[in-house]
Amino acid sequence: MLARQLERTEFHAEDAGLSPRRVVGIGLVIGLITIYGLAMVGGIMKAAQGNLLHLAPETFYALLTLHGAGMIATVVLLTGVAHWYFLREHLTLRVEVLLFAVAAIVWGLLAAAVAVLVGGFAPGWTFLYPLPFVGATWPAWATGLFFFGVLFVGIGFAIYCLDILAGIVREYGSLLNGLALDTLIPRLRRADGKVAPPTVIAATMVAIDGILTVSAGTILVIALLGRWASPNFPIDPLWIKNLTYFFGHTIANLTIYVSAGVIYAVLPHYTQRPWHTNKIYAISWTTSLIFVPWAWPHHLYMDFVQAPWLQLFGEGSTYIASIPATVVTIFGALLLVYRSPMRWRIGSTMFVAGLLGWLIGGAAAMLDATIPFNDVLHNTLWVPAHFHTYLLGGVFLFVLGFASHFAGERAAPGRFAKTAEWLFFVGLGGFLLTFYAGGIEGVPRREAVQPAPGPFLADIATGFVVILLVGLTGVLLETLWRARHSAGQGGEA
Amino acid sequence: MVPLEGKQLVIFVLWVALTAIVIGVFWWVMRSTRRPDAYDAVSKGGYRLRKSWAWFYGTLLIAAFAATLWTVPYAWAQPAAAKRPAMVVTVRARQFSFSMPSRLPAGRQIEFRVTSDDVNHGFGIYSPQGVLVAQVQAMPDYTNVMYFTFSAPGTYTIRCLEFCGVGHSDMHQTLTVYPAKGSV
Amino acid sequence: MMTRRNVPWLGLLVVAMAADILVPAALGIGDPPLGLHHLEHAFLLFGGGVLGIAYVRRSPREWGDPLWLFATILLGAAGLVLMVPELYSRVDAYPVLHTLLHVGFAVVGYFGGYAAERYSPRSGIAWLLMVVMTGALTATGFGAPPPGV
Repeated sequence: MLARQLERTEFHAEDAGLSPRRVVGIGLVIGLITIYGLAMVGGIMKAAQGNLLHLAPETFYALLTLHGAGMIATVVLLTGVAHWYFLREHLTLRVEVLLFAVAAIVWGLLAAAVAVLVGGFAPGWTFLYPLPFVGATWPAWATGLFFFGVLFVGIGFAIYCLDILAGIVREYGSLLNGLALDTLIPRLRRADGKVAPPTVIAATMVAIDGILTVSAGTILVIALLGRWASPNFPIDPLWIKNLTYFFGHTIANLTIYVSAGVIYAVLPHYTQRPWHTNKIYAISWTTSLIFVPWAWPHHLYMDFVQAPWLQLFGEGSTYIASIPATVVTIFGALLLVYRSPMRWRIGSTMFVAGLLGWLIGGAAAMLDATIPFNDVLHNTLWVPAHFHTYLLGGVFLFVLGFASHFAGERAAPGRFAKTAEWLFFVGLGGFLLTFYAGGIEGVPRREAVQPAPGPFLADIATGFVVILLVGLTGVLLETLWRARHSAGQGGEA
Repeated sequence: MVPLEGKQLVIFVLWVALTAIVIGVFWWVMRSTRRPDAYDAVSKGGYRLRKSWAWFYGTLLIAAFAATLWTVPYAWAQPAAAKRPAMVVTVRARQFSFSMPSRLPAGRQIEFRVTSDDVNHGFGIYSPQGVLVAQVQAMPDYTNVMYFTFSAPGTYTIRCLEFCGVGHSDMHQTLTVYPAKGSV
Repeated sequence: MMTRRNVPWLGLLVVAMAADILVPAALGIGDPPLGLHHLEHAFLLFGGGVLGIAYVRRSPREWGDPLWLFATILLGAAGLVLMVPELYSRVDAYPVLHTLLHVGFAVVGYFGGYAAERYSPRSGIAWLLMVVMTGALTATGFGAPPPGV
């Protein structure tokens, strides 16, 4: 009966000239342009911290808010479209839904940008209550508009997750099968023997945890909008702090799990080796599904009033969540690459380098998530050091790798591409090292004016950001050039 | 530059070691693609290695978790001996200053009761050498209790460690720690 | 699909929901503690959702109209709007209105489950997931003042 229903399905959007590839391309281009702009904002902030140019504190913190909120939303958008592109090989997904999700996230981004750039909204992207309402240097409308922007991004991500969940259930019968738990539980086994491939398993985990995260984010934003509309609306600061990080940490963290789904799909193209599902994948992704949403209390270690069991549970969950990543996904990827007839292209280099960034940033995160170490790392530059390593040095590299794969790359990179790639990596590495150095030296994060040695490190970082941006420009130009010369027939490594 | 010591030194060494190992492994794996081999030939050994790695990593995490149980900075984890009557000091943070004593003794355990009058702030203690030695959050409507003993006299810096608004980076003040009675 | 075997359970669910909505009003019992009250709302949304899903499952349908997915999201927002304290505290003073508001939760739950399940077979489960999650999270302290204030 399901088959009969499937036959009746028509893709109206495709009739309207919106092919799935085109929508993915639109999301990719918008996302990459936004990231490029926000990276420049990041460079401007570093230059200001290094006293190379002057920014008023309210301007600095507004840019900080824009950079953080914008990057998270854009990374969600980019990894989302990339994974969707591969999921369509296994699931029937509606292109209209993706288009709606992309549009909602873009509208959310625009709303946030107006709130920040016109209104001067500046309490940081985590908008930790009660900061948006106390001592504000911006008008009330900017606060409301920003929250609606967040809501829009949440709605976009939620609808994306809903469609994927629906697609998985349709194709594999249940979400348990989506996690490939049928490899463990004979009762779940399908008559046709179909088992979800790793990229679908990743999608199942992301979509379920995505729904949980967006639910948390919605309640958070509704509570803040309640307070915005009526000053009497009661909010418990500890409760909303937990909710803020439940939402903020999980949505940022999920982007790497979306990326894992992309890696599962794309790496076999380059290594010419298959990536199969087995019991280990089912166990590890179920572990991630359960423990990733429980890692947020590691943001509240320094709130000593928090219940002790939550503190320890947060630490334990963070530790446990690292096992599937290191033992299964990254190890599996390395095994796939080891002594393979690898085609080294910009795409494959980016993917392997991204795995490296994921591991190094993850190691730094694990140290920070260890309570006695958090004591001297919390809210120092160590925190942005670790998340820049696995967002910029991990997730973003996967996105660049995907863009390169999507554009099509049959030939090995030429001298221009190789130079650009090296400049990008040198800029990236140097930039990250200054962050780690600042963190270990106790320089606080999120400061317009830093104590020594912050400004000195910021000067060096600015130099590396320039190199990074020059390299990135080259990589993007190369990708664009290849896209134009491969007649839209991407996917071939 | 601030001297590298205490926990920061341990963290730095651990992170550099982990990063070096990881880069080494990646370099080795990437180089190996010059001598391609069949996947079946590689994967068997790979799966064995994965099993050992899983056991090793799991054990490491359990050990690390157990170790932290004894070293968390919370009041409930303080050893009984340290729970002798401490000097109680109330810290009230607000945009953009701390209301607290400007002089405190060294060598005596202090019970900091930290709260905030407005938004979330951080209460970070930097040693005279500029090393971050302890911190706790200052949250409205709640009081965070932190036990801390200044090991040496000198001029310490108290610095806000949670973004709290436009004056955040100016939110720091000095604290004079004088020698404990009977010492010197 | 809705089978005969499920009918008694669905009947039981309807009775439980009706009792939850009507009994406190009829007996003049005040609201439970805030957290529990949020869970009560979640139960009504969830129960309504199960009924909506069961209704769709009576017969096979065409799937895939994205409008149903958009409707699901909108109904989710509607469920949250019903919990906005400004609205809620005004309604709370009148038992009849309060009872109606609870009926409203069940109705939103029903249409949410209906819409989600109409989008695609068994995708109603995503609606139930959302409802349970928002219910559980609001129960931890939505609208609760800080202690000691």
